[in-house]
Amino acid sequence: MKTVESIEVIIAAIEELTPLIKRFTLRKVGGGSLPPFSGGSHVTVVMRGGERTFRNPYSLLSSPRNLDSYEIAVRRDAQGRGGSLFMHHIVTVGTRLEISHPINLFPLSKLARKQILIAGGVGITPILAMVDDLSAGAISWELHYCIRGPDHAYFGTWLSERYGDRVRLYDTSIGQRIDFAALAGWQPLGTHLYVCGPQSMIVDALESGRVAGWPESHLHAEQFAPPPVGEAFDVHLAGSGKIVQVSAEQSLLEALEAAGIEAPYLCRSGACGRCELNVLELDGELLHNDHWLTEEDRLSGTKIMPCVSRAKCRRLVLDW
Amino acid sequence: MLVTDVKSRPQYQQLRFDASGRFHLFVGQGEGGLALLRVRSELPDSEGIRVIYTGESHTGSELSEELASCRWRHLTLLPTQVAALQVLDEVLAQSLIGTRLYVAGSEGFIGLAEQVAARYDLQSDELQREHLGSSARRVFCVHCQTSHDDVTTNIVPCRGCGRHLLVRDHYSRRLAAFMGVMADAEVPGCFPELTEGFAPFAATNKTFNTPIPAIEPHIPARVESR
Repeated sequence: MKTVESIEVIIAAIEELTPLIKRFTLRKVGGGSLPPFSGGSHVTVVMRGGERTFRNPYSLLSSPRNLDSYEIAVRRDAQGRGGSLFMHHIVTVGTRLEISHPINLFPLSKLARKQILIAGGVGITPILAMVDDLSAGAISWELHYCIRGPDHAYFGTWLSERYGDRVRLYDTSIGQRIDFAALAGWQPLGTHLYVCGPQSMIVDALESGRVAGWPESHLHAEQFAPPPVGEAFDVHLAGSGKIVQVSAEQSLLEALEAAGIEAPYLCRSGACGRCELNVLELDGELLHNDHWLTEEDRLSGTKIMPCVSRAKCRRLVLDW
Repeated sequence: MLVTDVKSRPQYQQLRFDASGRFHLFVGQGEGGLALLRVRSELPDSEGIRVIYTGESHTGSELSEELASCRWRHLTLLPTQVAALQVLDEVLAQSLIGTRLYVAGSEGFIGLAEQVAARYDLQSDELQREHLGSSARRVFCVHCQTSHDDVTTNIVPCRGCGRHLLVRDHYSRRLAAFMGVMADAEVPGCFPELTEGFAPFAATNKTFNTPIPAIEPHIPARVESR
């Protein structure tokens, strides 16, 4: 089963925006318009790095009104699994890459009366395109953006110059923090909150909303966390009888793909539910890292999201 | 009787105090007052709780006195549904996110209250609905866009365009009404059996022995450009 049709792109420009972040401009090979998208969308970039293939989701930060190119920003993570290093060190202007069609798992509500956007660091990327959408509309909005310090202020400065008072910057190097409780406490009915950034920021923002009585339908978050590492284990595929080894740094989904199996996926971050697989047998425990399965699903021990979750076992049998 | 299990048909529940909310707004109409009296005992004594009620209903169930005898911090009694919906609109305009809305009454009233709530983007996790009292339906003529309150039969003459409307089991949340379509469009003068099943106090479904009365030729619908 082919899950997502891919698009061939070529790197048209690379800019170093901060000591950690590079921006990549992607154009369609052979020219022409790229598929339309809405603010909050991401693409999965396929990075073929020798023996390992990475497929990392990156938010589209460029204006949804410009389809001549897409822009993504990648923060270098020296301790990461290698995807960001591939983008920083291997990819050059002229490199050809394969990307998925845009998918939006972090869309703006069209019915909102007010939009509050919260970002930390490179978490600003989906929000840049969302702000572009909002600036063309009539709904009131504001952005609260945390940066590490003056050297990391590229997007913050750009946003402030463009949107003025709607943007509030917080420089954490001098102790500035978002007062989430005050922010969530006194907003009009019909306000939506969107947060993208480090895990602790997401937790704080959503929890402040819940404490102030916000319903879940008005709270939105996105985070592309890499699949956690763990111990190696074997996966037996009941359908084909194949046995696939999952190494310690590999996700279950990546191991299946490396073995030539086209398992379904969309977000690769445990949020969308597309890759859900059924577990038939297990001689250990499932380590769930997704935001998709219900508590009931987890207790049943019969489902796993292979994009981020793994097992601590010797043998896992999947219904595939 | 066109009653099916189509998905558009609203599902109602019993009102339950939702402690995850910070402010609570109860709106009742007619026998919906019974739901408010029932939940009264579950409620904390909080400044954040407000009640709007109108006794106006076509079944004549007026519970204003019973409600007034309970001690509410903020109770507003209104003479008509229109006035109650107007106050609801004004209160929601001043309300903060974290407010839960609870509506109890006839299906028509619930639908109209939901229309007001939709202007403030209230989603299903911040809005509860309890259907009490009349099961009469609000019907929208798909030909001339006239709405009719408290319809208890499966066929109703449209006071906008004169067509006889068959009430379909197709509910529009946006219009807060069931769709009424011309009943004899295929063969003029040929109607399905007239039944009454959406009567006050859920009367037993009865079939009329009398034939559908002959009607005058209908006035062509005025199609307004929208």
